[in-house]
Amino acid sequence: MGRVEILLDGKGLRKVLQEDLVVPISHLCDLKNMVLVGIYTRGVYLCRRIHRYIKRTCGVDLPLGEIDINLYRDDFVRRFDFPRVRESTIPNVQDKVVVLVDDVLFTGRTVRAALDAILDVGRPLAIRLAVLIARPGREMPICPDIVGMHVDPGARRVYVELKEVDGQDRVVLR
Amino acid sequence: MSVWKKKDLLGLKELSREEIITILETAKSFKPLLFREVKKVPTLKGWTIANLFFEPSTRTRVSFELAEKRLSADTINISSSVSSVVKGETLLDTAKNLRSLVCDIVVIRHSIAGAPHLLAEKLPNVGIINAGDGINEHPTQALLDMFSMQERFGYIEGLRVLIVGDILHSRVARSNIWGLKKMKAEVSVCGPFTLMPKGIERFVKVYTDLDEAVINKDVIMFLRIQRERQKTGLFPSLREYHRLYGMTEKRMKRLSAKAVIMHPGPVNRGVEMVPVVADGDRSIILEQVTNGVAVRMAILYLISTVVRR
Repeated sequence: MGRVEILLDGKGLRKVLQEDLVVPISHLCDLKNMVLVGIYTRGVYLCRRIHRYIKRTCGVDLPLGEIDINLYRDDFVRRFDFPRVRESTIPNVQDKVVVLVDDVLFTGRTVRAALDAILDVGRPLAIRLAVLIARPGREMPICPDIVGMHVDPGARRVYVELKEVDGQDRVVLR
Repeated sequence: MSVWKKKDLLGLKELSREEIITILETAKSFKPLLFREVKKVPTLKGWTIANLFFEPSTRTRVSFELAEKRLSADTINISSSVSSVVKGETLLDTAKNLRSLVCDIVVIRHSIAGAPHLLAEKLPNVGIINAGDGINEHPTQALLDMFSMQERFGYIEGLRVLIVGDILHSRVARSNIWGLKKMKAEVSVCGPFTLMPKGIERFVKVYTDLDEAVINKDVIMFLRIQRERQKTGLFPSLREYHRLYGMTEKRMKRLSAKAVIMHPGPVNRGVEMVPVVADGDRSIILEQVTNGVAVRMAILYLISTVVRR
């Protein structure tokens, strides 16, 4: 398992989420035109929180989507014992600005799959990418629009833990 | 939801309760896909699936083919009347040829019970799906039936399911009984004595009077009367069969308020049920057809996660 290094504790994570994700996202475009879409698993919970913050601060109830990219991935058989498929709910994206939310951006393959999944349900005006953590290691020409924090973990991995799934909020290197 | 480990789907007899739940849950995720504008995902792009139908079938074959295409697989269809089978090729030779053509999954319907099991054993790197083998099993039909019940009622455990008709020759009944018992439904059957398997009363409650049987049931599933068997003298006439075991408007009045009518199709109108029942608001026959595609997509997907590991 190795040594665990805490990059952000609960308070830190929530501060980054609010100041470095929610604020820039709410300035991306006219909120009337925006759709939020989270990627399973942790991207969905981050996305729900962003949705709540924006509702509270701007008074706008944005359409909220959740996607499972298992059916679109290029490596699903190799990487997982049994990728469980969850139901994707993508709201109407036609001519909207879709803000795609995930926890960690690494190779870019997940985002590539998510782009395919979104384009299968319509033609958005634009798709923007917001991630809590961006780390080096891209294998696809994918660049985030909004980043909470840049991290270079070297040989280790970055893990985002969220209350809803892991019981506590924090970002760690392992 | 448990981890899926099976390369083949041969029958409900071989599946555990957990595996049945995994299939039903996965199918639930697939169903909304059928109503999108783009009804396709790239999951099985580059996969080749052979549909071998050595017995006539329209609905099951079309349902499988649609499920395969929705997952972006390439499909080939072989039916007995047009294949080398009529030239005397054996099942094993057909299988060997399919291996040489590098198929990843084979869907097979055969008049001999156990044919899919033989293929599964002889083709260790190919996923085999039983689409009906003789009078043994028709697992995908039973799974779509259970999915439809789950969707309608929200649960299967404790559901009171009555299966009516030719239980003896019905692989649909056999698969449903295996599956529903594992899911802890309360299963009973009704039909003429001549069409009941020996010793079935040890597994399920048996009725011979439909008027009595339908009382307090949640699901009444009718089986197709295979007209070809009428000549063998197992029951006197279709008219008499309908009078005793067919669903009529008068019998519908005996049903409980939430009961539904199911049928694997194709319905012999006027035999298993009168048209107003088949087309009525209690009938979920057409929902079964839609659900069949979602369930078969789920099965193909789960099997694909094992075949190329």
